[in-house]
Amino acid sequence: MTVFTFQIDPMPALRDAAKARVDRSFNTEAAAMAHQDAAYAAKRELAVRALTGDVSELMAVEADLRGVSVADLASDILTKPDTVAAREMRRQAVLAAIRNAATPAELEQLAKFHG
Amino acid sequence: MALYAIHDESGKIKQANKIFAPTAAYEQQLRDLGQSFAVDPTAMLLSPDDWYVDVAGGALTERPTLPVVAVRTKIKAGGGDRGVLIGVPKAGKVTITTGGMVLFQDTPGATELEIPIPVPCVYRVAIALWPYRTYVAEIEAFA
Repeated sequence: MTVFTFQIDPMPALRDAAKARVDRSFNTEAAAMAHQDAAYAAKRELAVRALTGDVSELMAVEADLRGVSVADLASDILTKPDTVAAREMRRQAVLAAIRNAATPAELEQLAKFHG
Repeated sequence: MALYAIHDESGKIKQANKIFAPTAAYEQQLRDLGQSFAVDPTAMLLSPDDWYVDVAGGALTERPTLPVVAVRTKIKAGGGDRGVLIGVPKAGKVTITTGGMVLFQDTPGATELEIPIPVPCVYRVAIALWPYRTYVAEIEAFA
């Protein structure tokens, strides 16, 4: 009789799988928000310029449509989070939790909510 | 009516066709395509997981069962507890997966496998050796 004893740590492979699931989920979310992300990013730039006196036509038209001043619109836009950066922060937080997970059950729980 | 089991050089069935009116032309067509096949007038469609073609005899044959026995399948995670399989053929290819991820795939060349699991989860252990049916056992490690 010959005996072979395995020495396997399943956690690295399971962490890789969990990370892949989470990345897929965030990519799907980002793809669904592509227009909004791009529009928000452009408007943040225009809002910064508007507050320094460089008012674009887009800012002027939107302020008129909303019935507010360009300065108020620009300030309002800049109070909102950068959606892409906020999403990346969420992703990094989940990846950190994946790195710190000690059991497959913890990884499964993370993937259930974020994967 | 006849069953045509098209197989590779090892006898592994790649395709099984039930032909209601077999003809010499159909068989010639298979030969022209370079296919090897066995014909059985009685067999129904069958699973290649359970059947193969004995190439020497040219007959459909049930795949034999590996003499592996899982003697310990519920263990405590971590520490010195181990799942144990005995009767493993030395040439058997062992694949261990958990959660769909492959953790190990190789031929250890041993007749007894000891499988400790460091964290609570279930390992699926598959042992493959042609033409035997693939043996599968689950070993569960609890906290």
